[in-house]
Amino acid sequence: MTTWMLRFCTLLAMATMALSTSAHDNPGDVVHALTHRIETDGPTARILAARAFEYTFLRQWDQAVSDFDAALELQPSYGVALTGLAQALSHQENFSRAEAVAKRGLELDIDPARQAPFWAALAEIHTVQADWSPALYAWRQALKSPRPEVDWYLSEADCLAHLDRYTERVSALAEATTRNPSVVLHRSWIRALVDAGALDDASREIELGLAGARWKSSWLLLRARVHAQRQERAQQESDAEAALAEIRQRWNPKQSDQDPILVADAGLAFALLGQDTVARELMDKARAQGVSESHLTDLEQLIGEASLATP
Amino acid sequence: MRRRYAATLLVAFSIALTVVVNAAPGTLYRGPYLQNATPTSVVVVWRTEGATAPILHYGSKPDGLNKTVAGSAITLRVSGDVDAPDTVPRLYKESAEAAAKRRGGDHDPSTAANTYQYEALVSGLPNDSKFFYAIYDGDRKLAGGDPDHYFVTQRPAGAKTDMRVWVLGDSGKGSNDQIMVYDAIGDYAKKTKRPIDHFIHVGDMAYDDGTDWEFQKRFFEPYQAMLRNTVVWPSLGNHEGVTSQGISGSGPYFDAYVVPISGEAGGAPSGTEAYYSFDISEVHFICMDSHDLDRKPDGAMAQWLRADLEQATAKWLIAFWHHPPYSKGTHDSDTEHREIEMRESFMPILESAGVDITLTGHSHIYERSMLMDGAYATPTVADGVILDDGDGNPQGDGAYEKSEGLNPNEGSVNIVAGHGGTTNGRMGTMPVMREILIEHGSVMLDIEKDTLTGVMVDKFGASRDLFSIVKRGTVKPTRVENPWQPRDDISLLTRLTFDFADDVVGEAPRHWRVASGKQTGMTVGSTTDGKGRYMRAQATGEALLGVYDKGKTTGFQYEAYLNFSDASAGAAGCVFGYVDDKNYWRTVVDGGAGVIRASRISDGIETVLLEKPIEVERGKTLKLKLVGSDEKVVVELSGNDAFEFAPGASLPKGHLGFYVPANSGVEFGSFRFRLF
Repeated sequence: MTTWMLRFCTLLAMATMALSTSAHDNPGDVVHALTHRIETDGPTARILAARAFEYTFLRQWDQAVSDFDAALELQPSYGVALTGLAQALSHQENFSRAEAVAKRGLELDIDPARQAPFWAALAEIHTVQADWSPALYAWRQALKSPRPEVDWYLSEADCLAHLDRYTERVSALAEATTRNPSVVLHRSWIRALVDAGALDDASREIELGLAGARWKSSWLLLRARVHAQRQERAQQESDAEAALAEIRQRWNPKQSDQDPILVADAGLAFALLGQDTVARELMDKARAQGVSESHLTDLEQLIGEASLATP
Repeated sequence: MRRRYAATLLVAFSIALTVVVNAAPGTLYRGPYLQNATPTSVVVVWRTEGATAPILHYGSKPDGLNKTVAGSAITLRVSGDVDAPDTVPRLYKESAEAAAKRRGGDHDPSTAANTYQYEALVSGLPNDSKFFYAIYDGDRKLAGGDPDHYFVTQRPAGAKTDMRVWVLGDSGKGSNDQIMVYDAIGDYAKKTKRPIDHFIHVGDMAYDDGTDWEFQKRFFEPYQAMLRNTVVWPSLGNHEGVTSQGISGSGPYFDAYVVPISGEAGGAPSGTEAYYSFDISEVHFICMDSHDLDRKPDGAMAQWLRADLEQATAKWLIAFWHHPPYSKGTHDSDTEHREIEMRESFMPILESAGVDITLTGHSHIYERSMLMDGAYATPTVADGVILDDGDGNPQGDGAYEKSEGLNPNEGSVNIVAGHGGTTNGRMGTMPVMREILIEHGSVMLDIEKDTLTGVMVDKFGASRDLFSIVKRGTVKPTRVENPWQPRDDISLLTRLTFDFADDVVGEAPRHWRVASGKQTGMTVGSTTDGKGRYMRAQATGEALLGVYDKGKTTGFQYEAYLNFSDASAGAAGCVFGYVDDKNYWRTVVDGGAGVIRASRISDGIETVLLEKPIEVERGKTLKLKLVGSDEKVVVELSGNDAFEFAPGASLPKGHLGFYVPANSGVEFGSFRFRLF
């Protein structure tokens, strides 16, 4: 499931649901009630869109598209339905139509705040297709909103990484931290420093982070990556071992149920220790548990680099 | 909410306005209430209708308020209609597009006209210290300056823990139950001689749509006596989420509250008021937005949570949000995606950091788990996840035991406290729960050093559940094989859906019995496509009366979907207050006669209470809905025709069921019952 678009649609759906029978029922019940209401009162754009959003919660994309289309036939400039339709179409991998729908939304209003959802929707569509340049452009348009989301900054940074524009990525995240104090942006900025090879700046931040952390594994892994870039093999392995030991301490005894990010971090530790088979298994497991590709980039690169180095 | 580093105080503007505008003096209509307390600061918030020259005086005695907050330490925000510079932040105003689509009976969600909201930051204070305060319009006192208006700065992180926390959920219905719950907890605090230090609300504080008016009438006014001296730490519920958006931090919810976003109260900066954390002495609190933000394991909220927990050094960890990871109350955490995602994505993060308690609402019930760990699978099962299946009561099976400090996977107690004021219910049995109560109430947590004690206080002030967690020394957790299980019986449920999916075609449905008429008249059938089931009720020769046999109720909501598919068939309806086949009530849709008729059967004699003409379309499914209480019964047919009648006598605690007159037949697609 793509990220921001779904959330935007969700909250709009909540607004739309003000008209529904009960905001407190599960999606199947609400679909049931809305269907009955459509049958008795006749369809309106709002009720159709409300039911479409319930279908998205149930991951029933065909029905969702059908209802959004019907809503837009009744009310062609219904922004909520346009955004929802773009999302549903994207899930159906009907990207050309999803893009056309998002662009139709952009034409509704020139206010950046109101355009932002459609830019973000468009950016998501490009991101899913790995069209990084147009995705970057769209994220930057979305970021002109007076209240941009943390995720938008992160997505902009991801696009820059995919385009190998690492220095620009550092600047973008540094700028983001001036607009929003989120620790997530700060940590992403430090990671970007490592990726960009700004190792002295990164090290300074990592040491500060380590000093204040009770659980240190994520910081140790970052430092191990700095050591790797400096070709300080012993320190690299030492940090990776220490990270792994801590992750094992936090590992849930029920082996099938782990925090997937801890799984990915364990994979990263194994990769830094040169144990690529285990690292790959853990990466696959994290991916299966819902960790996104952008979060696995570091691990994938490390494994890839090791493979290339192996004759 | 905030924008603290954006537009701040324009009190000068406000003062100027009071001078320039020759209008009636501003009137206090909300607050003052306390927000965002830290060891060295607190925010006092209030609203007036009309402009004022805001000043806050405070001091160590009610009659010695010798310090002043004014000017740039007071943030001003105004309603959209106020003529103010663009730099003054605006309170929520519904868009014209949304307003045009609002239903006739809905409240305008926008902030009341001519509203001025003041947020006074009192800073530079010593920790763990009590101050009295008063708010003024220039020289005119608006409120305070008495023993009831005070604030206490937090104990700093690491200081000895000794606190009482009130936990309330799903309260904002404006009901009598809501007030009873509030009064009961106040009485409990007095009886136990310990005032409430902190107030956590787990969401749904302003039904139905979280409008500004609903916040005013269903949250701020009912709780004002507490809010003036106790900080409330809120979390966004789905009802607030109708008009407020976590994604943008806008709407009446975000207008009302000031919470830490920059780590000023401890914890990692979140950059949003949708989720945040804070420290009080040795307890780290985490609030999340389970409603409208990304709940993926690597989404921004999850990344923030990990970063926050990495640096948390407290001895206790308490997390709260709205959608419960484990519940079978009025919501099912095995089937609803927000609940599933909070369980699958966030419980592993919390438990790997040693969470002790999670507090949620949404599901209108009180459910309290055993000490458990690692229950992330869907559906939730108890096998392999229970670390202590006792009741946690020091006077019973003994307190739950954990090691000192925050240690991964040593078990958490998960509490659903959605029973604060709206209609409660239970649709199933969550197997990890130790206590399940369908009663209105709230939860009091007392944390003193290494012991946490939780009590569910019902709306009458009685302690209905008590458990403790003791964190001492080193405890090696072990998993209980074949743990204790809560009683799982349909007779305990108050929310029932009968769609006959698990019944055998050709046989009578489970949990139903024929009370009078032919025993073979009630059978489960299958739709022509084989995908659906229904119950066929055929009365040949004599009337057929069937009842749901497992539960009795006085008040109820009854929904049935009927289809008179047989053109010769005529009538059917519902039964309530069933005591025996000579004493009950029924409401019958008579398609042949074109009427709906409600009757009371007493000693076998029928008295018609209501008869109204209706049109019944053969072959089309009808929805018959009844909501019943002692005073009246409301009947709704297919969402259109609505009638009401007085039952003519107090409804006894009786069964619900159906009635088919002689020589009629009907297919019941499904029944949905809510028993009150």
